[in-house]
Amino acid sequence: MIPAADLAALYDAADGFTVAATFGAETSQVHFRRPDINVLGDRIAADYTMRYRASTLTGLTRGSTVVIESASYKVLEVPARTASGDECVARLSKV
Amino acid sequence: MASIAEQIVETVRTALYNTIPAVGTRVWRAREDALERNECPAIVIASTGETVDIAEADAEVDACVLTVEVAIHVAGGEASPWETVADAVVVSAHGLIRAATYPGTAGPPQRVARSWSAVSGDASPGICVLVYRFDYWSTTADLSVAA
Repeated sequence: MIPAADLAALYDAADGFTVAATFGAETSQVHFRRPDINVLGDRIAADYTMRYRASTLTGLTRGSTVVIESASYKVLEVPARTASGDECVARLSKV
Repeated sequence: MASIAEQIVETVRTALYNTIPAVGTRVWRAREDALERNECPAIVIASTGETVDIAEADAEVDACVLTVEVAIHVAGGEASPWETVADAVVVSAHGLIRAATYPGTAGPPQRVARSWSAVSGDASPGICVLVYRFDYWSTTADLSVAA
């Protein structure tokens, strides 16, 4: 388990490492990653993932839509908790 | 002059190039570089093998079987299953391939297989591959001359 103060620091909007993600009426800071990966042997696909505190965005599930930096993303599968249990990772597809 | 095999594959490319509205000019031959979402739907054509038998006792004619793969790349998204998106292109492509005229052949190619491959990911990356068999005859001495 991550100490609350550390978790707060990890998602502090002021440090510039997080971006705002909006799901329904809730907006929360998330770590957003978008590397390209090679799939199927000869395809490049963006591997969008969003890591966030498990106490936020709690209703996210497969098919949910989140808005990050004015773009909409669909959640591909049920978000998975990280090893500590304090955070979740959602895989996304750009709408 | 190109070999009959090369002429056949190029005929496939010509038949598909800019003739399927959804695909347009995104038709490539032997493209080994990865495609990305914004290039889909797209078609990649590749020769994958050829077998040759002596067709006559004097060994002057070769009976050849050329195998060509036509890969349809799609990014399905959420609106439709990627297989459905691919199928619309598959139907169009198959009709065009069968309707073309090929050197050295007695008739249109036979489709001998189809496969589907996909992974979870941005816009549902998927590939449907059609495999065609072209039976043709060429002279033993010159691969570019039909027999």
